[in-house]
Amino acid sequence: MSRKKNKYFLPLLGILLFLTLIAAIAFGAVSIRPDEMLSSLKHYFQGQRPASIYEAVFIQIRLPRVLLCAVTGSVLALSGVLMQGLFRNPIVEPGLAGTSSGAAFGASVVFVLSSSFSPELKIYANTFLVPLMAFAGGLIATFLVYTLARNARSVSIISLLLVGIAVNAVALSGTGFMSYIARDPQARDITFWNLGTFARATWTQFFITGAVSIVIFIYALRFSKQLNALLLGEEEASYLGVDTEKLKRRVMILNTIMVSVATAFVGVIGFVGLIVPHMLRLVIGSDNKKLLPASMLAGSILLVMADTGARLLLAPAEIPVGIITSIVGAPVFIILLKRSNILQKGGQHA
Amino acid sequence: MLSTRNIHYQAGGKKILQGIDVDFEPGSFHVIVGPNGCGKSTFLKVFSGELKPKEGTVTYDGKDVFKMDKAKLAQRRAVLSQQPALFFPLSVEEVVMMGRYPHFDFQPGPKDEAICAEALKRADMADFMEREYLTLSGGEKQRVQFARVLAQIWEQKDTTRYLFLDEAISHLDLKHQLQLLTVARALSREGVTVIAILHDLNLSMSFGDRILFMKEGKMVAHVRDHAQVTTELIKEVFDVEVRIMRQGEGEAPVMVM
Repeated sequence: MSRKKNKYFLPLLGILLFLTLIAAIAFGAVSIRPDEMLSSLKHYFQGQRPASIYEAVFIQIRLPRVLLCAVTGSVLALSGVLMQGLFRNPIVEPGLAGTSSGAAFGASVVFVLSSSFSPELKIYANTFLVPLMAFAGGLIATFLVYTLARNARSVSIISLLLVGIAVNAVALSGTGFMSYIARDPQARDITFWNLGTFARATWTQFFITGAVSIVIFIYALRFSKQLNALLLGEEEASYLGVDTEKLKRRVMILNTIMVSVATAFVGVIGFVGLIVPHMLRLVIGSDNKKLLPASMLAGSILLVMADTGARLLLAPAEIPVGIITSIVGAPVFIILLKRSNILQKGGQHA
Repeated sequence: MLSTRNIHYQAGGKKILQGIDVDFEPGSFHVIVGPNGCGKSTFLKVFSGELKPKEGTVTYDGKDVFKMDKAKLAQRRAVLSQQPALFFPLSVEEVVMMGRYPHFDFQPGPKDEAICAEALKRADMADFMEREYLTLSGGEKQRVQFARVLAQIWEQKDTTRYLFLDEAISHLDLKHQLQLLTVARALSREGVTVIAILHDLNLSMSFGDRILFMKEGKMVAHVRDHAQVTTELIKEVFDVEVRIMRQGEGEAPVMVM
């Protein structure tokens, strides 16, 4: 496909995202009609109480959930693009540097400890302590990976990958141990969190994640040239005037913040960061200037669709969204790999 | 003038470069030859400002290269390596445009696009602009990389421009080896300092204005004249017996194994 024909691609994704959002808001345990959405918004901005149960569900539950889902999807996809560019490997996952498994460990510690808390303290722990510890866990694990992978002056990508695998294994066994010593309900909390869920979405979470995603997007877009150059290799990028050490450090920091924040609120959601950038690379290529915005939109679309599925498939019960993304994501990913030539070409490299 | 003084470099306890003093004057095509592991590529990384030596200085027109702004340096110094490993889907045009990155901020201008097209033409790849880079053959990829490097130092500057070729023609067929070296020589005649690491001694003699012979991290000879390339020198550097067949005035001699 010629790249020149793709100038309508971004607007198209934008329209698709809008339609997906509307559909995701409309369908659920209760269906909400578009006129109810509008009147609910009107009442909300006029400072009035919701006129019906439908309006209340829309403004207090459905809307924050769908929006949080959208920004989380965009963050995960964005992080995927950055990490794949950094590791110069198109099949790298954002969690590779230990961020999400570290966050999962942090959260699981809180789940287990909170059993000894009083009921009031427990609510407090679930709203604040889980995200906080998850964020800390993600930061610490990534910092650990980065420090251990560092030799003398520079951080080699290969050692970063390998140390990442080791630290991930430690964090995973830590989480495993926590669920082992946990009582039933806490173990269930840990499991649910490890699979990712938007069931507890709030407006605050949306605003925090949304702000992070926009700020980092703008920041990352400024690096798009340098990230492109890095695709040639560190030395070539350096010959093009890129300070590669600084770039690697910055991208790692951006990625850690993004993944920690996203994971802190909703748990671990796999495959979005892997699949979205990968699919887009096949369609619009790897120029980060186009890839970054497209990934944000497509990541939102994919995760909102997955979460809608999570709500509807076993309604009124819910499936953790991470299960949906993995079940759908893994086969799609394998098909893409088979059809592209990256499996052969990237193999020698990975 | 690019000058190196007393360059020492060590890696893993092994002395790779042991005191190289050399001047590369502008407007010349310089060739570096030497056996495997003699430190040629390390030396190139050092004088291109990528690898800081343990000891010694590299100056471009008297200015320390390691104190220069990397981005500024990239506007006038380009390096083509053997075969950059690129595994991501990109169009040929996008790859060549990377050569213009040091010159524009966020959005390439019409001038950058024109330069990319010209550079592709000069690398004999004009028809490949729209192609997917990953679908090209090894030689075609290398010519695209050459176009990228040409685009990087395309414009005449107040200061000297530098083009370094690190075994850049190894994967090319004969025609395109000659074509790449011919373009590089033409650039040297425009005042660009061209320094190429080559393996083929006959190509080295027909293209090089000056040839630097290296062995075990040291400079053995820096010849200006074909007459200075003798069987003894080749024996000393490469440990190979050759016959050198001298041709007419102004023509490079031919070496036969």
